[in-house]
Amino acid sequence: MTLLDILYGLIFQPQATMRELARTKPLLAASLVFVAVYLANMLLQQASRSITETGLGLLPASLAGLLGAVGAAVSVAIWFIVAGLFSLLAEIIYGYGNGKGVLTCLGFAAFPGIFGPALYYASILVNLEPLGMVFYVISILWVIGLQVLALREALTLTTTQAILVYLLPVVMLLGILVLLLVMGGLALSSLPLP
Amino acid sequence: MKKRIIIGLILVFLLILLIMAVQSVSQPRAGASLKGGDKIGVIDVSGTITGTSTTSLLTGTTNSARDIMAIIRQAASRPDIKAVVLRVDSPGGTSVASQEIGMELDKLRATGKPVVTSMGDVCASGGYWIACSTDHIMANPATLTGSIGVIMELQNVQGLYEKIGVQSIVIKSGEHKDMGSPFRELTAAEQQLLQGIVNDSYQQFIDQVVKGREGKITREQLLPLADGRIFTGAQAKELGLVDSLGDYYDAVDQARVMAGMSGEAPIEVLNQQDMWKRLFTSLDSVLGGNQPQARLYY
Repeated sequence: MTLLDILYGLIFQPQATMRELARTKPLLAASLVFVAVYLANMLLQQASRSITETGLGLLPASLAGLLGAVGAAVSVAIWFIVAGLFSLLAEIIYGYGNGKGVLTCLGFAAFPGIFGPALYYASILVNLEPLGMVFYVISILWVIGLQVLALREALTLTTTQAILVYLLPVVMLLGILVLLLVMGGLALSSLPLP
Repeated sequence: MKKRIIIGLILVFLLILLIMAVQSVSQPRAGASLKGGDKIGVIDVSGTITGTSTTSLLTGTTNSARDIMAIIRQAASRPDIKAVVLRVDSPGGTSVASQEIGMELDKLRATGKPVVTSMGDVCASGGYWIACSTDHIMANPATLTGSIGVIMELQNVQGLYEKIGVQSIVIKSGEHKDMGSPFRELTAAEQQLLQGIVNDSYQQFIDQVVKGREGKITREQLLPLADGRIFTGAQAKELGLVDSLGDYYDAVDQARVMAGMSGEAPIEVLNQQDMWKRLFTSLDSVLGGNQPQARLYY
């Protein structure tokens, strides 16, 4: 499968493509796509702001460039951590993990994310900003759908199981947050009154 | 084959958008070209106003009089810019730099384009000088403004040099050629000469305010206030030093009304430089662009 085949497949035959990607695991290509999409999005968002913002709140190009580079590094790190977490959760719950497969599939799942900022920018250029917002939301939902599909194919799960694994880290994070708040509240209430 | 054509077209479309995006980011007005129509130009004046470039790498704005003058001229010559908002957040600067910017603003107004000042945190001294060259001054109630006056600061390091054993040898063509030298005391005659310069410069400042605020404050009303004191925006409004109170967007609306523009006119920040120009200007400032000299400051 060439890179063009993969990109075409992600748009028109996502299920078969994800299955193939989970099997062949082209991690280098996935990394390239992931970083390229991130940087392109950063550029497109900055370009959109340069037209719509008043300028006083606009991020200077040099700072945007710096943030883009730092953000790309951070997002790659998050991508690795999240892929590892998903694989670990699937292994604990369902007895099967596939770290490299999940990493590769999640990397490619970011690809449709470029369409949101790109079409939003294009819509601003032709004075159809509300339509651009719709494209943006569709693009986000598309990426989420592909990420769930990525988990399903890479971890050989059912759709329900994949959704569960996908949502579990968020649920756990919320749980920890609530626990910390409760503990903090209890600690504060046990302090002697002045 | 069909697959490759489809994905190829999608990628070419994305590539074209990315190229346009690069243009939009490096030259903010280029990207807005498809929108067309009339615009309100915004010129940011932040920090000390000087003759030499002091571009901030982070904020991307420059307060070099030369650069700001070039931007004002650009606003005057561009037919799509119908009005200008001068956003000033400056405690002042050198007298010549402020005067030069003021003169270019006067020329811009002569083209029939209204210029509105929007005062930020501080718009004092030289900042107020340039505001007086605009058609309408809008301040926030808490803005610090005023400071109408002139200052010249000189240092005398003679005592320090004597302590460390450094002796300055001066060979001069005339009595006052080293007037203001940090290596000796200022004589009474020199002090008088410099005071004369400061007084003359102060009169120029008063004239500028009287001219700029004609019909709003008289010379007689201004003189008691022009002792270097500062005012809040609200106080300045009461005294006639500013026209109205409001924020940046109110100033944009004011410019829009004065230019007779209807609806939501797009705004374009005119002195937002691209990354490379900003980097090189910053390096130039660091590598010797700003040499300390005795100057008059508003």
